[in-house]
Amino acid sequence: MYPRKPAQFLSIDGTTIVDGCLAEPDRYRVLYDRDETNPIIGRGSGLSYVAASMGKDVLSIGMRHFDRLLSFDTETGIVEAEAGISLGALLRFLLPRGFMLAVMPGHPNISLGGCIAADVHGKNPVRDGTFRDHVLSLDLWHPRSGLRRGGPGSVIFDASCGGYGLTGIIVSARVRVRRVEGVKARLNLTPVKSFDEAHEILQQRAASADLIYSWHDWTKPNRTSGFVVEGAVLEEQGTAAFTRTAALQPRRGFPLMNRVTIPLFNAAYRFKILRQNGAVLPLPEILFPLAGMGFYFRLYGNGLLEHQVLVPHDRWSAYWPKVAGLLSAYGVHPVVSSLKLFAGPRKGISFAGDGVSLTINLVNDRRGREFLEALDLLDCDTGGVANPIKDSRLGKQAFGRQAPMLMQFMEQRAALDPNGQFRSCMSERLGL
Amino acid sequence: MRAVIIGATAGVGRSLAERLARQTADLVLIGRDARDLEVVADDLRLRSGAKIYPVLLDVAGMQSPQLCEAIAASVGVIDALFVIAGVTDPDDRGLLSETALDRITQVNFVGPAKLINALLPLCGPACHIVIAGSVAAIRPRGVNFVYGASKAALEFYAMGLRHAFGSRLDSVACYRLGYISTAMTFGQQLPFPATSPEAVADVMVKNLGRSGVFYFPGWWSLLAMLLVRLPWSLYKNLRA
Repeated sequence: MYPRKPAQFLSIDGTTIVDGCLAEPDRYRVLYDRDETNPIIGRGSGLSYVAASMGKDVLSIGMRHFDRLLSFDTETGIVEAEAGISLGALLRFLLPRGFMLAVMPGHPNISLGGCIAADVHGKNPVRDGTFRDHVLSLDLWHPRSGLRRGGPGSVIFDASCGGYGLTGIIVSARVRVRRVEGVKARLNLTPVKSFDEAHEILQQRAASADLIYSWHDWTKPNRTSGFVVEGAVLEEQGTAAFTRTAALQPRRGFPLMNRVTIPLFNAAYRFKILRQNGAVLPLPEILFPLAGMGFYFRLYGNGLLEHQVLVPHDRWSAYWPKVAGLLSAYGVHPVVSSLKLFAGPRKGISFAGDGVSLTINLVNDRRGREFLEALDLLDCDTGGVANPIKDSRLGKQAFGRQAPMLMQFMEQRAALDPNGQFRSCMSERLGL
Repeated sequence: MRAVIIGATAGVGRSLAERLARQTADLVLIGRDARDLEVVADDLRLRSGAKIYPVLLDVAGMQSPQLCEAIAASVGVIDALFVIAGVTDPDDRGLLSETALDRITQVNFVGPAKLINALLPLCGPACHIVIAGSVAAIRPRGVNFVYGASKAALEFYAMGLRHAFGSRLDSVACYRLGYISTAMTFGQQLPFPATSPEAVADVMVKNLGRSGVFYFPGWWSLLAMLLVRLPWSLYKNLRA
């Protein structure tokens, strides 16, 4: 039995509170527990927007002590590490040696295991794909079957990459890393008048950019002006300062986001981002925009609703005006609106495929939820795919309609976790 | 510096290993679980480039000649010896089983004492010996008293060493550690906040060269003064 303690968990987006238990094994003989009776789920840094590493009466197995580097080959660019290691720690090790991970989400404390389990994307999914594209193998622990290794093509690998922790505990992984010329990058901003213009520029430039996305001020539904933000790594050596390393603690605050303050917030963000035009910044600062942004989540008070949807390119121009119509109809004001391009096939139940992804952040209130329910229907009708690791209220029905490979995943999961011992708030909500 | 850490795979021992490896010390890491030991050693080698020599050994069942051979073959001479390994038992609040009692005393006192005894000939002229003691040794109470007794015995032994070998050793320090965030305290309702293993490691390394018994965190010294002076009539009523 894992040594444990009762714990109340709050998801990072601030929408979900749940009573569970926490164990934090610090050695393998404790981690490799053979208890098959209690519901469990692996937990990296707990930085998923949704409650993926926690559940009611579920024992969360914290992996923070399993954060060691196991091997690194500078010839092949392959690093092997335990799943609890953070991206920040990996980058601190890799950058001075001229390497970096190809795919990195927005906070340095996110764990390697979390990146695999959620099959996260980085700053340019067209060029870099998603995290699983760079994983060569992983070691998975299940109390029933013990420790097993799987590579691409195996059930262990295919179901665990983007399996949201439901196949077992990811213990370690071998990952191919990318050579990088320098430790700094220059940001360039291109003003755009609309989503369509941004989409066009993204399509022109995404294949070769080191980092590319667009930001839009969508506080007025019929106006979507913004910037395409493009980053290019420079051949500049030196030290890459981690200026912002504060942990992202889930915490609710006093609600300050409303129809008056949201335009002000966006104006302030526009000002901040404009100041970065042409700036040369350390890579960690560019790669981890959420570092030091804990206050942003607290501004929402009772949490934020993030919706990220991948829409086929040919439907994008017709899709977003309909979303604008829904925003008007429900009187909802998005705080953050951003586009990224994706390329490649669907992979299991991961957020991956071919198209343009729209991300919006909303205040967690009745209107926001009603709007998103209407948006779910629009997404399904458009052939859109919502990101389940970002949206805490996405339901089983919408998720099922958007995930054509769901049955295949469920069969794989049943083979790896026949009793459904691994579960979380997220899996319960999505019927996984 | 050539250092030996007993109990190097988790908690304070692992933090010490990381701290010393950053100073490119040559380290002998002693642990009883091969999986953890190899992984910690690989990690330190990769990150720091230090020379790391893992030695698989259970302090409770120590094989002195083999250990001395392993250390002589790796670092040769010891400049610092850290004795960190320790165990407790949740049932240590009454009559313990003989096995549990044996385990606690072996790991916390008998094993380390035998080990120091065996390694002394390998200690250099300016060697530091650092012992992880416990505030449980301040005054016996109804919980953890076998643990407290074993730590008190180790402390007594260490201070005896200081007296006996004061001219040969640079320093002998015993840290009476308060609550530390390790597996030993995980999930327990603690009356005082726990300190991080990293903070303990920092203090132990920074204070190398100082001899004596120290409290960490330092405010425990005030509490200890009160506890040892508290009349039995009052002390016996304190919550176990």
